[in-house]
Amino acid sequence: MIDVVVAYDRASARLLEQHVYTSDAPSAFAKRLELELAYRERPDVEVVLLSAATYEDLKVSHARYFDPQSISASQLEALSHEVLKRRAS
Amino acid sequence: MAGARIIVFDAGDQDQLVRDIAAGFPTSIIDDKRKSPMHGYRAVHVIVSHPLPYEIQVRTTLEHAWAQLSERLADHYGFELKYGGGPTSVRDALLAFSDFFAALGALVADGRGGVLNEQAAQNAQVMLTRLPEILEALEIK
Repeated sequence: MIDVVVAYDRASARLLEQHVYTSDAPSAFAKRLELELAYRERPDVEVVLLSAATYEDLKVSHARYFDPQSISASQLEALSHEVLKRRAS
Repeated sequence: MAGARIIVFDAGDQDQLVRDIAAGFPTSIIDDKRKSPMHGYRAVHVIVSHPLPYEIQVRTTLEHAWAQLSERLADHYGFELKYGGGPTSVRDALLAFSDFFAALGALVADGRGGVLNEQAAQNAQVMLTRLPEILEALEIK
């Protein structure tokens, strides 16, 4: 199990910090509280503790934090065509 | 707030998983946002009390892709975009794309042995012709 604490700036779509913990949930939880305090004056910053089996899983479930530039309308268009193509075959 | 997000392929998998969760947590509350989308957002949320409330979001691949774009656009145009605010052109395009993905989702379900939804198939074809203008409105400039 992997735990990742992120501080994400919505306004700039930028990950400010990330801290990765493997099989150490208490430390991840403590870091989350530390960052919530550190960013309490910045409402545009989200502090989140994410957990998953792998880091790759988190990049799928929460791509916005890890690779926001990859999320685009053209990505949805490609997915649409992929679905239609798969159905037609 | 604590929660979980599970992404499955299509509505058939989604329905099955929701049934499994509800069977494991008999007091859970199912919020099916596919029937009444929240400003275009579609998914099934299951609220489990164990003993504190815990939200499990069950999304199909298409619903998840739409939700990610919606979040990304809300970062750019403002949080209110997710709640009926923000630029009209972007909001309308997001809603149109949500309807298009719902129609596509119905086609996927049909392809996997579900009942063909003729209306959804027609909607998807009509929406395809509008795709370029919708995509134009959704590009972050």
